[in-house]
Amino acid sequence: MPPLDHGQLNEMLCDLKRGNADALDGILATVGRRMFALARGIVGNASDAEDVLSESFLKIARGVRTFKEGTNGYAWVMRIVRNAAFDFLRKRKRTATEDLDAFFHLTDERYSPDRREEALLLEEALEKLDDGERRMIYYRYYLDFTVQEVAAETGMSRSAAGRALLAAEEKLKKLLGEI
Amino acid sequence: MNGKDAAIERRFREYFAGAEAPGIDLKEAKAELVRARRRAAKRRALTLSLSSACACLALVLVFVFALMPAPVMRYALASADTETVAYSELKERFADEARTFAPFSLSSNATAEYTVYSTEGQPVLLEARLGISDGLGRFKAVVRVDLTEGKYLAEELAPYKTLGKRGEDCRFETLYINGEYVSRAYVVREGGNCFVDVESAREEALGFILGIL
Repeated sequence: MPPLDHGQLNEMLCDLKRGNADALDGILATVGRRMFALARGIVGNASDAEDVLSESFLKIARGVRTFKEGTNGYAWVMRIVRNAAFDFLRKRKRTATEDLDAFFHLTDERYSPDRREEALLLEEALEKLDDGERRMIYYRYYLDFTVQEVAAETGMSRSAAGRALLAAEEKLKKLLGEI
Repeated sequence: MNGKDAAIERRFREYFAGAEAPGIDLKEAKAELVRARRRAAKRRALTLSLSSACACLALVLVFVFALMPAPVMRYALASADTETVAYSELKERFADEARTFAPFSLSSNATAEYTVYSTEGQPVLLEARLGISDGLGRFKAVVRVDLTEGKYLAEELAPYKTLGKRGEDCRFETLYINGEYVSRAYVVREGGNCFVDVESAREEALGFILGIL
């Protein structure tokens, strides 16, 4: 599985902006799983998550004219998914939550057997973080927020957010045996 | 990689790779892209054909329109009747237009105050004054939705319809004033055309709002 290439995703968004509808296939192939995992974490089940994803792609097609080259396309896409998921819940008069447990238990649903063992190790390590640490990891590795964006989201100062992120990353790496 | 830790990023990359792949059909999204471009192309074609009309016809049209009463009812926003309402009431009374504000009402990162503007007893405009704390820092925005399909227009908002930069379905401008980006936009959309004001330290704030609308 190749790394998430932000530049490649941005190019797809620019291609979409120029009117190439097939760029949507590329976006789905590149970040579809992450988008789906985020949607499912918010709405709670796979079927609703698929509805959210369909709506998200509609919004991407509709709103791509405002996407600015050089900005973070992945964060832009994930923000659309997040908002679409909240909107989905609101329409069904359900309370909106971002269930960190759901984001970090992808193996509970259909999951590739080849990758399950490593995935469970990651999930086990994430469970040992406290809520604040897991939320930092969620913002950074799910939503691809910058430190500044994490600070804005949490109301922390930029330096405090940076320290909190670093502490969460260090703890997670230790738990994963990476250090 | 946006400054992220390489080892953790690798772990998450593998993690997402094993997750369930979404089974969705992109046909509708592709069709929406085509529709949006067709709308923009139609407007460009219409503009061209109008421009190429003979000069005397254009002069006659100007003369006729100058004499005719304006088809759009104008009112002053400053002196319109106002009513501050909760989002729940907004939804009940103006279900379609209130959907515009749904992402903001639900988000924990936004505060909102809603106002209904009326003139001569008729609701004409919905307004949301927003405080947003998101990836672009904290910024303010005002989103106003027309309830009248263009039949009524606030004097204060008329200039928005002729703003300089033109995107597909919208006009906008951004000025840099006293260290802030001050943006205005007019967006043609289903669910009510919108007039948007944004003040932010980041130029991308307008794009962020337009992406939600």
